[in-house]
Amino acid sequence: MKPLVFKNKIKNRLILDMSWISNIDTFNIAEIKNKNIQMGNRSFKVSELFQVTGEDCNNIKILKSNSYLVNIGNNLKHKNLCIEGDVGIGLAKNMNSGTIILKGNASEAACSGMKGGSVYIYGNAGNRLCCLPTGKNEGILDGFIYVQKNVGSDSIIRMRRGNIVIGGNIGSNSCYELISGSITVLGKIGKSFCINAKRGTIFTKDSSIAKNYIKASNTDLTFYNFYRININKMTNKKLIKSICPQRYFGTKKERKLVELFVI
Amino acid sequence: MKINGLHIENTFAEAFNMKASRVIVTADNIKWAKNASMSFTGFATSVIACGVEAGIEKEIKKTETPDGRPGYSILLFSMSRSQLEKQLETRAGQCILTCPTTALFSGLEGEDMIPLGKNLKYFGDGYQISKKIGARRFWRIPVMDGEFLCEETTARVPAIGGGNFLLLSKNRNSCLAACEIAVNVMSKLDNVITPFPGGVVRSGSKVGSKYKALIASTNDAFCPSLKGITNSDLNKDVSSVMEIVINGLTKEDIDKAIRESLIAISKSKYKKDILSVSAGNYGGKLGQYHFHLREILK
Repeated sequence: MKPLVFKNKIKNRLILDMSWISNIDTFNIAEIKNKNIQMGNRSFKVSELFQVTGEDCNNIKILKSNSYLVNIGNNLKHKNLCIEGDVGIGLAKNMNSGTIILKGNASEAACSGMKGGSVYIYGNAGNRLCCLPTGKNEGILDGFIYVQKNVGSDSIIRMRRGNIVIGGNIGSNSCYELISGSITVLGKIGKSFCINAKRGTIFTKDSSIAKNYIKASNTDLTFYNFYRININKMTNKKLIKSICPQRYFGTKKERKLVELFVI
Repeated sequence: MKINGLHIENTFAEAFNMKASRVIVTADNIKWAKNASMSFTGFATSVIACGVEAGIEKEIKKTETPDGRPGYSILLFSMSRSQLEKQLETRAGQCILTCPTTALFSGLEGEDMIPLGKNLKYFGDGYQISKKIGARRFWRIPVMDGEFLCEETTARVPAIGGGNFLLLSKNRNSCLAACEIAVNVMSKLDNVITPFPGGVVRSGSKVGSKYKALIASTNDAFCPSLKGITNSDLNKDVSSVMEIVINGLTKEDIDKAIRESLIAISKSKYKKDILSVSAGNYGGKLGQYHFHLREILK
């Protein structure tokens, strides 16, 4: 079955809420084309805004995407979404399961309130990646996020569980009130990183943050190697290469059980 | 029927529905992975008294294990879910957690999950760390040599226990050597184990006994020392009988194990001393699976 493809043909600069993509549950292309969606103060048929081909509603492609398309993958469940181009705010907001592959940049507040599934961003992610969604107290509950390039500031707030891998740098005020989960940052880390953290594991090449942590024994690297193998497998790249990291366990001030591997 | 001159009797092995699970034990080196695995699968020959039947399925190279270290995969079989759960946790706690450098992972995927490290985590006394990767949760339990990494659950799948065949031989040495060839062949196959010591059983049993308290007793029809005084199934030349019991995940796995091991015996120098190959059954009334030797070898 061919994937369902939406080729963007919108020429104006109005924001379009793409939440409806997650709710497509029909293989009938005519029904999809005739579905009404709201843009600005007008209602349009899907076929007026997108060139629609294919049939498999569980494998969806969005071509020629741009930052005016917002909330792509909102509440996504059991679908695979492949996007070519940039996306607007709210990518993978409250996502439950499935996979999103973005071949472009994500704007602000991506992966906010994510509960599961995998998001691969082959570009940059804006500020407030995994920020608190409205009415929720955790920025990310579970799932896997890979950002190939840089991530903006105020990102990853109150992470409960899951795995985040950032290939580039991360901005300031990130990982605030980390509850648990694992974060890998291969680039540089901004100011005020991981303040008020409770638990969690951080893998980083930036040794400047190590001064806040208690140096620990690294005789047993079973978990580190297990994690390294899994992350490299999930990203299909040899992102974590070091086989002899320095391990830190516990913050110096608050004695919280945060673990740090300088790789 | 003869295979390369090896006589196959027209009979069948009778086997039963069981529940199975697979775990993977890894360690810093193969020696300690083996120590843990041998301990884990110790006293696990028969569900009659051991609660579970377990054995090492195969050695796994470090490139194929979840944590990049050498290890072994182990299969466990039990008649009930509760017994499997109990034995798995007890053995993991006493034999793997205690063994230096080891880690324990699930080796099966499925929907019916049973605890592996779910309760062992409490050994960490609050210092245990949970890690979730994809849908799988792992526990890191601090121990004196570092950390014990253990997956939270493993899958339970339907399986078959009690596939078997009997080698009827002129002498004990040839019988044992032929059995060793068969066990060696089966040790290279996936999804099967031979749970008895060295994979070979000398004490095949029949149902019932003259003693009321016993549900099973020696299979006198196959005891060479009782020829003449009992209703023996052995001809005058047979002086030693040994059995290989095979547990597998599917009927096809056991079929393959029987076929390949008997072909290997038939090509060995010991075949001249093996007078025939038979199988253990209860008249076909108890077991859900029948392994007809001649059909398997067709």
